[in-house]
Amino acid sequence: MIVLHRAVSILRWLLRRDRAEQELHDELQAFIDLAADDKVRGGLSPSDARRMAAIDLGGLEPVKERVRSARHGAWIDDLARDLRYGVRQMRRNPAFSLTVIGTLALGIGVNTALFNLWHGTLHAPLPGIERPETLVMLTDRQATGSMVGRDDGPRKWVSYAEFERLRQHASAFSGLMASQSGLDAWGVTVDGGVPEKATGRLVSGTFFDVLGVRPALGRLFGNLEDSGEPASAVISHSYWRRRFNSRPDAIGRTLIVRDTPVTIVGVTPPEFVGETGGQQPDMWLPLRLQPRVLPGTDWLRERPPDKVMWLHVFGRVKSGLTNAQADTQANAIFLAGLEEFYGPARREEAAGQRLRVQPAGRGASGYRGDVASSLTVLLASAGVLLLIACINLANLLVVRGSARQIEIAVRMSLGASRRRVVRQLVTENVVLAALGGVAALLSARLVHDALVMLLRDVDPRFFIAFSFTPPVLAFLGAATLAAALVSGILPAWHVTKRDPGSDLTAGGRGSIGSRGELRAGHWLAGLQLSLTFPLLLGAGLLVRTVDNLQHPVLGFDARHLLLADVQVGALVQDPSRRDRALRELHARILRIPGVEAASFSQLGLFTGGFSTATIEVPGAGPSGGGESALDRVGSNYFATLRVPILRGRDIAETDRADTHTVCIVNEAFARRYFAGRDPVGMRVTTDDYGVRTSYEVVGLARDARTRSIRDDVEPRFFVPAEQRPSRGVSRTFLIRTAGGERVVPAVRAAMEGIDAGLSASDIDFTPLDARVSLAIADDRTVARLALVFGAAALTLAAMGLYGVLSYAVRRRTNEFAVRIALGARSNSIIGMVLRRTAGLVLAGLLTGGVLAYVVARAIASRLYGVAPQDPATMLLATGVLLLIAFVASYVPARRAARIDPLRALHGG
Amino acid sequence: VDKLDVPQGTLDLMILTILAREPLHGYGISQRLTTLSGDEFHVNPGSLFPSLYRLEQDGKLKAEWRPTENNRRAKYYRLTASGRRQLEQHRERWHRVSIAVRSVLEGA
Repeated sequence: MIVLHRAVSILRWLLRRDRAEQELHDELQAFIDLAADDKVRGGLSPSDARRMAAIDLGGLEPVKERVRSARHGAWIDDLARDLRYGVRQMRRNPAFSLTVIGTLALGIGVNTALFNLWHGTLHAPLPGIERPETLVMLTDRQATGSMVGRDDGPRKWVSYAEFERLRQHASAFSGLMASQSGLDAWGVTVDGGVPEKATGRLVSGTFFDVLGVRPALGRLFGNLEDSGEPASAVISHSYWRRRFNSRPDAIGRTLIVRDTPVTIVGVTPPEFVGETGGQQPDMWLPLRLQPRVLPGTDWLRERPPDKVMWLHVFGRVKSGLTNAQADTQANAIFLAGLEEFYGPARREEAAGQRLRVQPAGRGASGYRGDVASSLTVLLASAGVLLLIACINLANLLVVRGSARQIEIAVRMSLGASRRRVVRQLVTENVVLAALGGVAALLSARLVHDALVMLLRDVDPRFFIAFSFTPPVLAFLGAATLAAALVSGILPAWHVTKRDPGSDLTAGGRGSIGSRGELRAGHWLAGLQLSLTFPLLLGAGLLVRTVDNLQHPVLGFDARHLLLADVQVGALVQDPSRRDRALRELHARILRIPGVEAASFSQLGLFTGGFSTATIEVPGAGPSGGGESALDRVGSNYFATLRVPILRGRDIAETDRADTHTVCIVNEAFARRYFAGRDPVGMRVTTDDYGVRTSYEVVGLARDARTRSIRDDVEPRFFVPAEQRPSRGVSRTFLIRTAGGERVVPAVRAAMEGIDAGLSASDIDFTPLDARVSLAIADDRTVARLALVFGAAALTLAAMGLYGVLSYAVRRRTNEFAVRIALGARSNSIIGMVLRRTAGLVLAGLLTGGVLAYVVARAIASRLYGVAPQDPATMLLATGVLLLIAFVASYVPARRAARIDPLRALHGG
Repeated sequence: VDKLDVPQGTLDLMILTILAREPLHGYGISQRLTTLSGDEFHVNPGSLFPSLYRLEQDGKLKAEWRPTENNRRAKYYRLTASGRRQLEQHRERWHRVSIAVRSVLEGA
């Protein structure tokens, strides 16, 4: 009840302030009148009576002020007044205000943009889908790609048959859909033009239904897409805009996707990206088109003994059922399928495999790992940068506060409480920060675009929209408020700590500011230095990492290598025809002028592809078996890469399908299985579901990194491409040529007329340098940004130190003038100033060193070829900081030494 | 002149008591307080008016402008039902407090 009364009266007060003020005035006036009447009755003259009555009241204004501030809701008044005052102050000093607003806008903008990316990548639910909290996933959300063979433990993906089985029998779900786990890039022809790359996914007809998406135009997939070979496509809003200028007649148009015509039936809404956050496919095609989109494969049919696992499965659990119940049912169906597939003889293959029904409102996320950890590092450093910037502002405000000391002293001696003045100063700062925050709305958007462009270097398919969702807005608000408080409270505290009387009598001549304020300034400058240290060291370590990665120890010569991915899918069913075609292509490439050497392999270099076999190594002791990595390679593979053959020979042209089976092992393999003995002449036997093949080791090759730049080289053996069956649909030719991409037309021409199954249009060329560069793009981007942040932090810290020392020098002008007048030499004055700095710099470096050590440990997993506590980088960061600190303090010190005592002491 | 300060927290109670008898304006309340206290309490308008405004905001008092007997206009405060309830509660409590204080002082 009281609350209501108060609220109403506060409202009335706010809305009808003039009337309320007038009433208060009248009431107090009446008090004086009535008191005066009494005093006249007591014998005073009317004028004396009024004077006495007014004195009794104690002054109209103070009483009014006490009434105002005693009222409930008085704070609203105060706030409004402080705000008005703040705005006035700001307009009085536009340069200062713009500096503050600009600094904050940039600092908060960078943080907000990074937060949006970080949040969108890691935490936000999938955009544009219905009730993301009820979406579940049955496969591994961290996994992306596909796998041929046999899995164990929790399943990463399922096969098409497994999905179909679930969809038909799993009654615990109101809907189930499947989507291709990897995002493909297809050659797509629009209107008979040249093929362009477009990204897309194969999805089941239930895909859009289960996600709960409505078309922006046309229709989405339905039952039709799950039967026959439906030639339909749904395109994304961005592709529609980019490729069709948002024209409605895009519906019904034909796209040629890798020789297969499909008709556009619909467009998705703008915010929709699908089931994997952070990636925007250009189009979705029905699952049943798989054999036609990837010729030579058929992932729709099960072909024992291998399974092709490539689909993620999502669904919605029927209401009234728990996820656990759905999990039980789905696994029962799944296991029954496995038993049937493997049969009683190989029942153990099925053991341990299972699905896991889990919430998937954030969608699949396999790709996110790299980008996410980079964003976390960047967000953290941006936060520190903002803190350093705020400290600078705090310093600036301390200095400005002392310029306003007279004004504040007057206010305080007129009875404003300290709390009141502090609140007013902080409010002023909040006004500035709020404007900074508003400006940050804009800068965040710009920074976002720039960041996304940088991140596209890392992952060309990276896509996160910038949107002011509640979490992003909340972050922006919190960052703004934090910035205002961090930069505002300390200065306000210091400005008001002084005795107003002494300020007024000192009159601003001679000494400016108090010792406490100077101490605060020094303290802040030291803090800045210590915060800058970890940013600098981190940047240094990351830059050295990139440098090391750019010249990695690969174990082979990475220069002048051109990679050409050739599709052989159409020939998969006929290995001898395929081998013949590859042999002919190999020979023709070798004849191209400018080609020094060439070979090929199934996995290529740094593609992420991986191939293993179950092996036995006779005579290798107890460790003589297990899974080992392997690759199928063409003749002169090692010579082409320039990997030294340490013993024995290279793969030769004479190693054919019908000759003696041989292999070459790398050093890691020899170490594990042959323990120092000469491997040449030993045997490696593979076991493919009971089919055993024995390969004689004919060579030992030096370890080389062909799969990952960072990881250690794993034990691996290499077999001639023709001596081991493969259902792989592509081969990568490794072409050693100084001509770079100039040989591309010749290679294309060489493909003509060899075999109808080799299509010259279906070939991708990449210089190895470009692929290595792409592989380290993430590191490079982070290092680049870390360097920018480090440099910014250094600049800000230097400005902070410079500001504090300049101020200190100005404050001690008289003292220095007297010393100089008494004959102090300029070197001793400079020494005095620098000695004062030495303490704070040292303290900053020491605490900063500790922080830096912690930070370096935290990013250790990102480093390559450099230890977190690398002394050289540590020394360099220390050196840079010392140098900058010296320069920032030397300039004011020299100014102190050059003070003209006559002018200074005369108050000039 | 050695006047007593109005003890902390009792001003509201005294205002309510005075207004329980009849509606009064601010000056009237301060005069009545001085008289009733045997000239011991002199309340400062800087304390009186904030109290009046707060009590009014809390709905304990209601105010209206009325002519005085000498034909000046003044703002008269009167007790609301809720003010009367608060007065009874506070008066009851004050009695207990003063009895308790007196017995402590005399018993010691």
